[in-house]
Amino acid sequence: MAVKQVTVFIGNKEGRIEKVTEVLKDNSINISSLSLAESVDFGLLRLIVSDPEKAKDALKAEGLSARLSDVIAVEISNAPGSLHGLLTALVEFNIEYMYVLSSAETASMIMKIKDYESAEAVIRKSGFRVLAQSEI
Amino acid sequence: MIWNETKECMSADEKLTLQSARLVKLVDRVYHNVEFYRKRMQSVGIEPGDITGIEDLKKLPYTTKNDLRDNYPFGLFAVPREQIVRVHASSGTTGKATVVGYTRRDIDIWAECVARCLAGAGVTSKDIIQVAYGYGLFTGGLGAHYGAEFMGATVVPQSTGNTKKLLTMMNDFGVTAIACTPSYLLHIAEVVKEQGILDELKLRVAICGAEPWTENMRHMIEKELNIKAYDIYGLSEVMGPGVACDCEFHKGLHVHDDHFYPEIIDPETLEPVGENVTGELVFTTLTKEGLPLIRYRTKDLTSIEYGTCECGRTQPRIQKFKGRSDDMLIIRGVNVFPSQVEAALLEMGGTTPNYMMIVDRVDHQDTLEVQVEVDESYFDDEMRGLENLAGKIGGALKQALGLAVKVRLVEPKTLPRYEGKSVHVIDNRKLE
Repeated sequence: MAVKQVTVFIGNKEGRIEKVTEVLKDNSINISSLSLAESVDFGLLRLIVSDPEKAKDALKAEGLSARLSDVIAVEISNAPGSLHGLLTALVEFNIEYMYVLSSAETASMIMKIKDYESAEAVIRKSGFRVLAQSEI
Repeated sequence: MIWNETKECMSADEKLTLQSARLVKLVDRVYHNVEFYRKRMQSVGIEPGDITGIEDLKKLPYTTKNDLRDNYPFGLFAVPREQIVRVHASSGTTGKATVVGYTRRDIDIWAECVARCLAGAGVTSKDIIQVAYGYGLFTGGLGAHYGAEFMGATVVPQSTGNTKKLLTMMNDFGVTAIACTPSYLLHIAEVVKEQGILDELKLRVAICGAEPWTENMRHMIEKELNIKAYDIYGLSEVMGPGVACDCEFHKGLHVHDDHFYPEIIDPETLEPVGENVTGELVFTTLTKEGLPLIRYRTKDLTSIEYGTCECGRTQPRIQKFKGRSDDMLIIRGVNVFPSQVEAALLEMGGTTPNYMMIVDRVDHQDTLEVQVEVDESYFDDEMRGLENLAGKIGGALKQALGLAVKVRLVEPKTLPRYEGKSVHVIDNRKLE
């Protein structure tokens, strides 16, 4: 039950992230969560949005490099030790990256995991809830 | 000091006779031994008998780098391959290198020409000289080496790449002369300053070439290292370093015109131009056996001054280089064509990426950054993928150019587009 993440290539220039948020605003797309990975010369902006397909097309239409990839969203309770519990369950897996999707009551981890399907099975077996795209 | 006074200070009459006799023989040789030249001459209705002296040279067609490429690797050699004792290679405009070949006699003449240059710079057999050009397919290292050895100097074949070691040996051996690119020597000067070892060094003279440099750079080198610096010019197609050189009066580079006959032409009309008029430098190799070249277009823009120099040499003098009539760059002494970058990127597969080459000079060392546009087909959502991509492009470019390249990935459609002729190079080096 993958969630679609929009990944945008960001060159090392002023105003590039602002350009992304402008395009999303103009298309009435809501951003639920994001993370930015950077190197010296460029960055990757990863976004969880209300309409990933539309977001990707709108960004590409504005000349940005954008693509969709599958990530997993796992709900964790807003309490000490809950993230640790999730990571303990996944100790055998290679997590590429993760970031937080947060709301008032609960939090979710957005995770990119190698061998995603068996990871999802482990997560469910360990009692965590995996979010569907419609729940974002 | 003048190494070969007979040849370097020859009177105009004597020279004309010598050059004419050599040209007649050369034309006869290439007509009978090289199919390319025979066909070229036939196509304009010229036979060897039509060339009776140097004044007939203008009847002959030009030769270009493309002709060398089309006859890659040995098609223009004028002797059986067994008589070639060495080959060198330089960058071609695309994937294939430009290959040159030398007979034993060619190597001997080359060594003498380099010895003339070293003598012009005041080097003698008593000197100990570090050759800090790259050794290998590049003509710089071995060319300077053979010349210095021929002169009888003590040669340290240092090559390039380890400045610390070079300075240790310079100091320990009491090195008095160095041959390298001017930008590398400026870098060496900085390291000398950092180490505070200038007073310990015995270095007194430098022979610099393989890239264009300015009077300012020469003054800076002379001041920083407390030495004399001289310019040496050459290109592998014609021979290598030693085609022409400076003397103590710095009034232009004296061409060894008993071996290499220079002309300046208008690169548009291809008509020869007069003294002191800027145009493209053209050489005819009067004595070369392995790879003789008739009216080879160097693409270097300059002018020539005739008349006897204050040093006593009667050779024509190449004036300051004004650039190129093609898009070749010289980066750290290495010839680079934008088309090589394009070919390497294309060869990597996928769509044609747009690119821009940024050339700069940082701490007196040339740098090359290649910016490549990436679209979504080139990356995924992980940094590793992009870093691998940059690494892969850098590796491919290094292999193609023989030069370390910094790769910068940029967003699609952010590199400038130009109407008509596309521009792929921004050269920020200041040479004036």
